[in-house]
Amino acid sequence: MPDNIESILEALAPLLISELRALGYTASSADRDDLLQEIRVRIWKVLRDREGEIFFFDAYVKKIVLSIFIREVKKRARERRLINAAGTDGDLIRGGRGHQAGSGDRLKETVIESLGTLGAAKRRALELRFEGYTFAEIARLNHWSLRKACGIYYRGIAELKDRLAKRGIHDED
Amino acid sequence: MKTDLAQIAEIYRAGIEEKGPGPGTACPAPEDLARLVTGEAGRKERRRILDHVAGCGDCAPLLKSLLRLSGEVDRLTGKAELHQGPKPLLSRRAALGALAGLIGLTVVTYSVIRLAERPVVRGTSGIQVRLISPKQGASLTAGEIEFRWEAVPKASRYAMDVFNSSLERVWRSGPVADASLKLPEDARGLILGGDTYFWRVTAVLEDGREIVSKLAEFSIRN
Repeated sequence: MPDNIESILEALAPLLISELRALGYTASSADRDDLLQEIRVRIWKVLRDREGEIFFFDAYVKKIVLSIFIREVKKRARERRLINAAGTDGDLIRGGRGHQAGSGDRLKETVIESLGTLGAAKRRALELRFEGYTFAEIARLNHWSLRKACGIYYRGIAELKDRLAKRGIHDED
Repeated sequence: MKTDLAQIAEIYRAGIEEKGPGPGTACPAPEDLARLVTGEAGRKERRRILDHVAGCGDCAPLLKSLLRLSGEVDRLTGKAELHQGPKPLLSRRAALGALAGLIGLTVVTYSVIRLAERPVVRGTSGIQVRLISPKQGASLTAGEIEFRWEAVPKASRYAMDVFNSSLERVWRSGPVADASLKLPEDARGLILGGDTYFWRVTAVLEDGREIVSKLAEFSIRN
């Protein structure tokens, strides 16, 4: 195993745990060690199968890390479903999905409907941005340049504001 | 009713939270999201997944986590992956440079052609050598070529040049006393059928000064 893999895994561990937490799953230092151990084992297996030589080592490490992370998320999601099915409230961190009434509902419907009328690329850019994605992430996911991602987003915003204004919702900015 | 962008985003997120899983029949497998992050998903698949993820309160956070992990692995393994879409064959700057170069080349070529066509008058004013035949753009057979031009006052002799389409000289006459010249037999072998040629006349005045005519084009029929 390359010497630097240990330092890479050690540096990666805090993010693995914080991402699990960000998704609403509790994670402890024991989980951290388990995850790291699984990644080590997988890397070791790959090295053994390929007699110690891995081209594109970074790509392998990434695949293994993402795969272990996904497995962990799936496992925890299954556990949560079982707990929910047993009548326990498993939604500990996210909290319940609130419900607003009255004009809030109408506003929500109007915003989502207006978004739905935009072109696919604009809608996608706006929705991802609203979900908290950065322009760089939106560009990377869509295989766009950063400039294109920004351009599509701002044109989409202008169009959305226009459509909302036609339905009586005006922009304060 | 009034709102702002932050509120719209908030409203959207709340709506998605309430709605649960996004558009389409089912959420894509997390492995598909990983393929999207590593760039292995094809174009159609990428669009399908992103259209779903953009409107799905469950998949969007997971994809975001995968993106962050992927970026961190890249950073730690020393691979600076700033993937910004397929690179164009030429960057904007290179394309502009190439365009400017092309325009420059065109201007230089045009200037050279204009310069070649310009009558060169050395030490004379108002005296020109006017070409009579073959006329500009004439088409003729090699056997019937006879060059004629207007006689220049005080010209002691003339010389005539024939150039090919690349403006390389293919034949030059010796001193000619009259204002006409029949292409000699030996020169006819150099003038090929189907090609285009240019000709010009240089008049040498008694005092040694030279007046050069414009270039005139003619072509030879097969």
